Amino acid sequence: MASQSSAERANAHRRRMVGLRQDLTSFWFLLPILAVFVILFAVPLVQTIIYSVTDFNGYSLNMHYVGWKNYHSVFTDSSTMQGLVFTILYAVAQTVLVTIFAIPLAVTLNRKFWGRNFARSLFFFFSVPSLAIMGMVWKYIFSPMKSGVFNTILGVFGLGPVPWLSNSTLARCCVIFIAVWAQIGWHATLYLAFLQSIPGDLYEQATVDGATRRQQFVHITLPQLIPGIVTSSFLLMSGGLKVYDLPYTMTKGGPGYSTYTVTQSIIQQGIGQSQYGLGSALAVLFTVATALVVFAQMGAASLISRRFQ
Amino acid sequence: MKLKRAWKGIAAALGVGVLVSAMGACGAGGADGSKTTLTFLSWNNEQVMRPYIDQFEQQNPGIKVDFSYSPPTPEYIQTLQTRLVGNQAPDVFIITSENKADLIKNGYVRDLTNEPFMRNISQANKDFVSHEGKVYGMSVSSWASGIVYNKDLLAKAGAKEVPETWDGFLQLCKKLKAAGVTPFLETIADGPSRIPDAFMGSQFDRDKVDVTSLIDRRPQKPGSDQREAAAAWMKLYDQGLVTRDTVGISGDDMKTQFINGQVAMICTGPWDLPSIGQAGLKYGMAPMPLMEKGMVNYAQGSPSPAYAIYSHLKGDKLKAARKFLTFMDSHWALQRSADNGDAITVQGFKAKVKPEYEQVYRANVQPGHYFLLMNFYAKPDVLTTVRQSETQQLVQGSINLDQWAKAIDDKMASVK
Repeated sequence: MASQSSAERANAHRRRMVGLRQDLTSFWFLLPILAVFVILFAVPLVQTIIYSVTDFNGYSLNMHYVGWKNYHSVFTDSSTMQGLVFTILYAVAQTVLVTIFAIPLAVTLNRKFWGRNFARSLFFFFSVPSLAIMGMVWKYIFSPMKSGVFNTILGVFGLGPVPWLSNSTLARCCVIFIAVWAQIGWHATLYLAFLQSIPGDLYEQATVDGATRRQQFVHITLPQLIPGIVTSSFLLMSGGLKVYDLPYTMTKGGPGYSTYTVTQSIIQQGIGQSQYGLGSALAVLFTVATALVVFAQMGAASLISRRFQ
Repeated sequence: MKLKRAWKGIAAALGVGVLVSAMGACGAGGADGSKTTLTFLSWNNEQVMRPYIDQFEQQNPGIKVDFSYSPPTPEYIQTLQTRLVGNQAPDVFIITSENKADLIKNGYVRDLTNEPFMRNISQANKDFVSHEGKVYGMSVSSWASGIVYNKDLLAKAGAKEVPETWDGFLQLCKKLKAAGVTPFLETIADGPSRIPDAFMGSQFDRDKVDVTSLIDRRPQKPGSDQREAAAAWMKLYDQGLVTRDTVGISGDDMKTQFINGQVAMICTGPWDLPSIGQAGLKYGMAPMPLMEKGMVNYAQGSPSPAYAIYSHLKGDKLKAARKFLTFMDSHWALQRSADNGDAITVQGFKAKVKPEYEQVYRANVQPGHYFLLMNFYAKPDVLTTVRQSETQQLVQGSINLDQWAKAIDDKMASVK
């Protein structure tokens, strides 16, 4: 009996040792990515939190603790608040519009027609150049001068020039339009992958039952696309909240603060104006706010998924 | 197995060797230990600076220049900032509007006031990098903007040149508009208008304001200080002589319109003259009109960035840095800069500029009659961004002049 229990103990010890060795092997595989995470994310994040309660100016390491002063300044700065408004507008508008247009586009591209592969490549191509380059090119297309590309076209039809980038509302619309135009193709390709995983017999059965195309779209395609919508909207929302390159290259945040973004504010105030404390406080608040928005979105998506299961 | 170990051994030895030799090279400051290595951070690229460095090294065989470059302006400032805080300060570097206050305040730049190479530097260039009577940089050239005009289009309104006063300028714009010509264009999208700075220079000259003391004033009130000049400039928009679309027009758009003969006058600096000249237009460049008759003519302009010496430099390195600045002030280096298109302001140097730029050069650059708001106030980077955004709203008509001035002053007051 005693020898049996000692054999069990020995076996258990051996199993633990094997488990430990396996854990250690996994750890060595994870070590490089852990090191990258610690050096490039965790350390800067801790530094940012520390700087956010100091008056660090980037020139002198002799910084002083200033408490919540930087956080207070963030909420009293009107430009940052205006930047926050446009950032939220941009993120929500691009998420909604891209989703609305990318799903029908994906459904269309999923059908058989002549030149389908070319059409798929063409729409995907819009997302290949960086948004910064897009911004610079579209700045000329949307020039408010008579010689601007769109205004020249309008002139051909006898219409007067439109102040695309010199009117605050139009400038906002132009920036959002380009973001949507540039990202539809990429997200349509994402939906296409999800569409191709929907079993074909669901549609065959629905056709036999006399369901119209619209009914098939509403009752089969859309519910089956929910995981795709969750992924796509998550990427759009998180990317939209971090936007910097497109509005900056097109309008530099103007006219006034109409296309100013929170990220531009962090870069401009923190690095450009050597107010690292203030910039860090803004970055910390923005990280928390973004995390909250993304978690809320994930919660909502999960609820909707369960509704359609 | 043994072969594998041997290879590992060789690889390790080579690695250590490479590391040791690299570290050795860092420590010695060059391959030749007898030479003094001078580190120089510039915002001009190596193609521009190499001839100067080669000539300097030829004249000073005991000094080797270790050149590094970062493009202007935010990237350069950040590179320099990182090197200064990280104890990797360059021995000689560029000091300019955006970083001079921080560099001086944090004690990174050497006082050059009594250095022999500063004797022939013009007063306006010294004022640019001065604080409390001490000069911290050597700037050898300057620029000034003016009104570039299309002679053929001006002739349609019966004018041969740009009027000397602002009222005359507004009258000319009205005549041009009546003749079906777009009178004037500027960009507010790329930065605030150049005109209020010019007016403000004249205003400060009239009021005998010591511009080098503005940086120490508390609270900083650049908005209120520029209100009078901005009010005069805004007549252009209030009288409907210029489109308010300037808030969405880039500098390139403006230049293209002028080159295509679609606008009679633009406000720009000498850097645009070569491309305008290539277009084959009959054009001229006139000094900025005077805000009021009887004032001294000022342009929006600035000394070019200055060379500074790191304050902690000692011994041979300091001697080498002094020699380098002396060289950059020498006839050979100044002539080279003039050939590159810089308007040299060093006393005793006969500068030759483009014929079209001659009038502005004589009226503004030579006597130092130019003014750039951001050169003389604390936190110029904050001032630049807030002024640009508020000016766009002013031109759009969404705020008035009082709100514009207050918004700028409030922002400056909120920054330490």
